[in-house]
Amino acid sequence: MSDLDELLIRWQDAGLGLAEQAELKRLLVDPANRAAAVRHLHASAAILESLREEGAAAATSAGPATERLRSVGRSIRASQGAANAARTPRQRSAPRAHRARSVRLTTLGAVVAVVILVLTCFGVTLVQRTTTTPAMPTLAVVEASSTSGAAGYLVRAATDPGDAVATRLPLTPGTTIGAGDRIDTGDGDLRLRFSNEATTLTLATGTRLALIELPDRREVLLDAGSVEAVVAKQPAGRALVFVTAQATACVIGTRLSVIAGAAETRLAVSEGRVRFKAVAGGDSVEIGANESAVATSSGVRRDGAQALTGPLVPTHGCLWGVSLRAEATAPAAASELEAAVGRRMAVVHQYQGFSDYERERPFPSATQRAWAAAGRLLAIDWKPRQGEQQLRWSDVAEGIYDADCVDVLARKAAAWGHPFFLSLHHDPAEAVGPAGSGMTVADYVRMWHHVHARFVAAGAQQVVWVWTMSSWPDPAASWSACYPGDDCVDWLACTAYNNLKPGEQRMHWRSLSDLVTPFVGWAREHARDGHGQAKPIMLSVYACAEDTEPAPTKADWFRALPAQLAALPEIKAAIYFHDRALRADSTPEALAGFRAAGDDPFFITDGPPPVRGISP
Amino acid sequence: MGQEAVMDTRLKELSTRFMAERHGLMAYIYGLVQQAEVAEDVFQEVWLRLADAAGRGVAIDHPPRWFRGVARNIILHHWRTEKRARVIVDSELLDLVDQAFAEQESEGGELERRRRGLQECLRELPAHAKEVLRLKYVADLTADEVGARLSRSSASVLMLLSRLRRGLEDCVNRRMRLSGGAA
Repeated sequence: MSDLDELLIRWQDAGLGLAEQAELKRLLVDPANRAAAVRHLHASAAILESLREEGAAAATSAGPATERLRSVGRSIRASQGAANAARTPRQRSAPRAHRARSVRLTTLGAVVAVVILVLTCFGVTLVQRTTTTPAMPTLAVVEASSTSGAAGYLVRAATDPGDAVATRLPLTPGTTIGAGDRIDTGDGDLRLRFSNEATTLTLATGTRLALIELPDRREVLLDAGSVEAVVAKQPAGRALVFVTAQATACVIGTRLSVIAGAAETRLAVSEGRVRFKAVAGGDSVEIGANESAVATSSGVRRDGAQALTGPLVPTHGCLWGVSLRAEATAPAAASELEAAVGRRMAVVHQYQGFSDYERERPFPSATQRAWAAAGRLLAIDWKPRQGEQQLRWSDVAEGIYDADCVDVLARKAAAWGHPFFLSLHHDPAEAVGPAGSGMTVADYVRMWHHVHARFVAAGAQQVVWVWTMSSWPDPAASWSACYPGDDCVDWLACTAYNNLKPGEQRMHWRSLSDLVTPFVGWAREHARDGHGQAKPIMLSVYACAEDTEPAPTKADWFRALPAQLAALPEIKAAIYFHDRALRADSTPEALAGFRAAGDDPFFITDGPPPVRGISP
Repeated sequence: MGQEAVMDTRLKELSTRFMAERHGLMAYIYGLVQQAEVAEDVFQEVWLRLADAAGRGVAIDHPPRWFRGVARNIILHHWRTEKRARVIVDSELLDLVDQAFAEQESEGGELERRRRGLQECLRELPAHAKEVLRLKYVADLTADEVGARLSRSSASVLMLLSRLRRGLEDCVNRRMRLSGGAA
């Protein structure tokens, strides 16, 4: 037996030591050995399958491999059959136009739960969140109907996918509705109440829908007709989603945020309406979606115009931000720098990988929630990597990482609802590969489109998409070739490093204006918002290495920032890379310069009320 | 063709391809996780994700590579979360295994003939030899554990496994030559 086969046997027995793994890798460099390895692994699986087929299997909890393979085949055929079986006869035979006719969905902005909230100046009584019990077999109950007797009927799919027979039941008050049951109100209308929560659905005549229960949401699949919904506040991590042929609508109940300070209480409502009443004086205001108000000892007043419009774009000045290391998990990481420079950062930025938020890993983390609760905006540069391993853009575009990473973060972002900046693989030029590598510029753009679409599908509409390139043009990955398009990019961003490698031709002392003007000029011409205006630009990230000449110094470079950025009005955010040798406080002089820049009122440092948000 | 019908057709096409590639995919998965039950769970999870992706209309240009990519991702998560999982390897070795399977995609016919030949060769093995293989592959025992059952050292069990695998390979090669296939 060859060394390769023996290594493979030992590898698959109890693993290999480092030296043996290195030897195995050395052998696998040879294509002939790779072919032999594949034959070996095929043989291992075939031995397993054959022995099980012979009935010589040891008692295990799993069935024979072949039976499992066969059961997968049955599942494949059954799922296709079940999909047909679950449709009503009318649906199977109805013309496409009938099933796809446009539906009236009268809910959401029109009728949402109204919450009356009375707040004190020095304390907050938060709306208690209802918690739903784990998924129950009964999702809803018919509460009332407009007609005497049955209003329409219910079709209940057979429990055995191999059985095509479905059950048809009349809908009367008290009828229970389970997951997958299809409702047709026919000539009547009726009201359903969800089990274990106060949400009600009123279905008009001619309405057909089904209810689906999923781990993170309940779906109302509305085939035709009209539904009015009064939606109870959904628990964290869950949503009620209406799905029609043309749209999805994600309802989480009324959404608001409350921040209680020593002298004031601030309220911001993202959806629904809230009555906000001050203890002192007793006056009150009713705050609607995207509105906010402040209560003090003098009474209550509505806020003025938001400091941020659209996708978190400041109406004046520039957001002042900092990039912290991914390992900075303590809330104090941001406040330490803020204390040093005497002003709060409006934006906190971190580099993260796909694996940082996969599966059960939380988003936002407790630290991120704390940052957001204090009014800072999050900016995440999300790189397709797992640990140190780069994931192929083409694989991301084909959905290989949807279940574990992309959809996971999308759902968590949607559930949180707080707007934040998200960039996908900043500065991709450094990773571009040849044709067939899965890392071409075209693959990058496909990946962007796919991930953006998954977030939109998950209801994470509040995510602000930031496309980040190097400010240094790269012919192998031009800005134009890498740009995903106006419809899936909210901000453009570029990195800008001064004097990073002293002495090299490419990197020598330049002002920030010199570094970024080419990119800003390109962006002006090629990236437009829906009103034909230039899209906002973010410096993400910028930094300055130590000075090597008597002048200009790093401190001088910092002090020049406000004036230089004011001359580039498209730049609406500047995030400093506060790490290692590039730290803003690398010397006392540099820190003084950075602090002086931050003191300029041009930079927005006080976190504004969230445009949309929920209590952290 | 309506959108629903397109989706159904696409799912059928991908399902057919999945079934055609199932032995190769199982070889990849089982080769990496080396535990039959875990391998079956991963295998089924790949199918579920394929069904979901097909239902969403995701463009899958290269199904076998997509299957292995999803399987790899599931396996990586399994290794990270299962502290007692075996066969944890570094990414470079994983890449080489991926490359090896990708290169052999065009050899599916020969691999299928070898698989059938191996089944016939296994039937010819004496009972005690099959028992060793059964303990190793079906019961998921390590060489140490097999040795404890058979009152042998793990080294001798590994040597026995090597000889059995070599014998099976020789048998398969003979059958391939007799049937005119490559060996």
